[in-house]
Amino acid sequence: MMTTRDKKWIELIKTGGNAGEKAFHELSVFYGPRLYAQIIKITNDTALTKDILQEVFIKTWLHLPKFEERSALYSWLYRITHNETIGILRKERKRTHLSINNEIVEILPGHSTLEGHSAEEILSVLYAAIQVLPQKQAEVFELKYFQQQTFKEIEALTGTSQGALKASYHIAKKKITAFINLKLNH
Amino acid sequence: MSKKKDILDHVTVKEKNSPSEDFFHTLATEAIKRQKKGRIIQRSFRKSLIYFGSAVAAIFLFGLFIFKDPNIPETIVKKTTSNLSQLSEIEIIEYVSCNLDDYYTDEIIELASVVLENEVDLISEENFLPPNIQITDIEHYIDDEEIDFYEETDLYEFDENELLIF
Repeated sequence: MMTTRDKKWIELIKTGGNAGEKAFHELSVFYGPRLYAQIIKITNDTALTKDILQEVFIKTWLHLPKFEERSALYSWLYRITHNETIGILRKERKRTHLSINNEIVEILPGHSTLEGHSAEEILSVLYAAIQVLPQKQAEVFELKYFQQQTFKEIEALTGTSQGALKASYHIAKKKITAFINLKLNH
Repeated sequence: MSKKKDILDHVTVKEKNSPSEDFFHTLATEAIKRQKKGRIIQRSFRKSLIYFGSAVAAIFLFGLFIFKDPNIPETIVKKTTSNLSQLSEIEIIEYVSCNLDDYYTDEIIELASVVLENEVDLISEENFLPPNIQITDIEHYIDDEEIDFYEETDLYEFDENELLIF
C-alpha cells in the first residue's frame, strides 16, 4: 500500500525538474534516518555507513522514475539498502576485517541459551536469523525491534494495517527465537 | 505469575544517535549531482565508442586487403583439383617415374605401405584364389612337384625347450 505522501514524492520525482529534486530531498530527510539505522547496526562504522547510504540515494534517484509502485516505497528502499549493505560489506570484508556493531545491544543475564556466548556472537546469529525471514517480516522486525517504532508509526510508513503488522512481527519473533535457540544450543 | 521471558527480551537494543537533517540533504544533493555527471560522461563515452568502433572496422578492412595472399587465388585452387581428376593413371605413373628424384624415398615407402594395407584388407578367403583355379589343382601341383612344406620351412629342426614358452 502506498501512502499519499509517498505517491506525491514519486510523482514529482518522475516529472523531474526543481520540484522533483526538492521532493527527493524531502524523501531523503524522511527515510534517511531509518535507512541509516538499518545500515550502521551492521557496519559499525560511520564512514562506511555514509558511503553505503550515498550509494542507496544514488540508486534511488536513478531508479525511482522506473518504480512500478507494486510495494510501499519504504519496502523498496529497505530492499535497496539491504542489498547495497550486503554487497559493499562483502567487498570490504575482503580488504579489512569488519566486526559487528555489538555496542548497540546489551545482553541481559538470566537466559540459559545466551550464557557463555559473546554479544558479537549473539548479534551475528540474530542478523543471520533476520536474513532468512521474508522481506515483510524482516522490515517490521527492523522497525519495531531495532528502531523501536510503534505499530502506528510503522503503519504510516508502510501503509500496512496495524493488525497485519502485529501478526508479521509475532511470526518474525517466533522464527528468530527458534533460529537463535537452534544455533546457540549446538 | 510472571511471564516467562524469551531470548529477545534478554537482547536489548541501545539507541544510536542519528545524524542531522543536513547530513541527508548533502547526500541527496550529491546523488543528484553524480547522476547528472554520469549522464554527461555516458553521452561522451557513447560518442568516443562510435569513433573507436569505426577505427577498428577500418583497420580490419585494411588488414583484409594487406594480408590476403595474392599468389593463391581461390579460383586457381579449384581449377587444379578438377584438372588432376582428368589425368589418367598411366600419365601419373609416367610423371612420377620421370621425376622420381624429386620425391623422398621415405615418403614413397610410407605411401606404398598404406596402399598395401588397404589392399590386404580387401582380400578375403572367398576371393583369395582366382576363379579358374580350384583347390584340388593346387593339391595335385604340390604332389607332382613333391614339395615338402615342413622341410622347406625347417619345421623338423626345433629345440623342444622352445615349446615351453607356451
